[in-house]
Amino acid sequence: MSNSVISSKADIGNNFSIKNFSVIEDDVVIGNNVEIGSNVLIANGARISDNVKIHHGAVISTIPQDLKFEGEVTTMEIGDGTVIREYATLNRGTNYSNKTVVGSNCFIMAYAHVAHDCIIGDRVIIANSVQMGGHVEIGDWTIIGGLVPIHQFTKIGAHVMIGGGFRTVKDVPPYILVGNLPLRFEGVNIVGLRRRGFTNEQIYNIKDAYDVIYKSGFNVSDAVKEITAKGNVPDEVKLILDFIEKSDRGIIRG
Amino acid sequence: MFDKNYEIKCKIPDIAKFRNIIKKESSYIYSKETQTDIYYRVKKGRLKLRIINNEIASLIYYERSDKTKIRTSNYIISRTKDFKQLDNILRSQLKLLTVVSKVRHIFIKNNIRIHLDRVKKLGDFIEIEIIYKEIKSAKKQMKELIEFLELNKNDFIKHSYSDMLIK
Repeated sequence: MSNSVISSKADIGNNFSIKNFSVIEDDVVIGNNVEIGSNVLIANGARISDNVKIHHGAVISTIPQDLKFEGEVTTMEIGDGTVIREYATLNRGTNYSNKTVVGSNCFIMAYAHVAHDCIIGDRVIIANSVQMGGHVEIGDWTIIGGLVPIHQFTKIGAHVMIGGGFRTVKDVPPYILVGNLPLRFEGVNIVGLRRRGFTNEQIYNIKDAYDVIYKSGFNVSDAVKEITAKGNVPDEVKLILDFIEKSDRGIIRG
Repeated sequence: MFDKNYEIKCKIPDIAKFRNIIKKESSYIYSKETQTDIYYRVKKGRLKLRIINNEIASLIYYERSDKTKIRTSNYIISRTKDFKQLDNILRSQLKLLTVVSKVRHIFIKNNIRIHLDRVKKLGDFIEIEIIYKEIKSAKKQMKELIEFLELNKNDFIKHSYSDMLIK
């Protein structure tokens, strides 16, 4: 710890460890049981919860790579139990949403970039060298394969799996597997859903909804009408419909 | 009511190599079947009608956790020759989930079943099933078989053929 520079103004919890040559700036809050590796930069605005591990060379809460940024005070929040591996870079927010968020129990692998104003849910896995533009949103339990570039403002739903290397420029609705170029629906993430305790009935409801959205020949808006026309839309399907309604970039193709 | 299985499934590049290895072990009884598994939608577990060589069928209900790569399952089987009518009844009451078509090479020795499957649209797989009363002895048998067949645990698959097809 003696070779690191830690601001006396930083608010640091109990049982904290830090290796050599790291820097912690003034406006930083760190919870309990946090481990910081060597050569890590924790810049102003970082809000790091309990049990987080940040590995060698990671750069946390540096200013946004956004020409509109004018030095406003914003944060970069990291939830409980999240692990950030070597050389990952995470920027803080702009005045668009005032914060960048990585949820609890996430795993951000080496060289990944989480840009300004990104909102990442809980238990998300971001593989090596995933590169996000600003304002990206990713739902809980989603897995992004290595080297995936994600266009700014793209939304990715919960329980999604994106295959490694596939360019993601459209919104990806929840519960599905996606791959190919251009990015396409490859099926419902049945294995992931079973592991997380979804019932047969919930899984079949999701599958039926995606059969209408992607396999029936309807365009997306007609598919949504078709699903809602039947009435009694289950919660898991409502999540899909809400996602589609809020999509600004349009959802990926079937 | 339920019998218990301890089982693994593994993707393999080609059935022939494994068929030759197992056939050398002469204590296994060998047979070959064409199987059509019709899965129906049920609230819990899995329900399938397995039609064998288009001659006889088994209605099988089973529950299995897909959380680990080596899995245990509980199952109930009822055998019938009148499978076409049974299928009609089931389809009238339950939605069809998917149909899995495969050619299965079966090797049986005591409580051990080894299946080499060529599954339509999915490829070649090996399955090992150990019917057990004591899980400890089943685990020991499984370990020996995995070593004998030189299977790589990284290649084990947690999900069923039906799940792989209904995506």
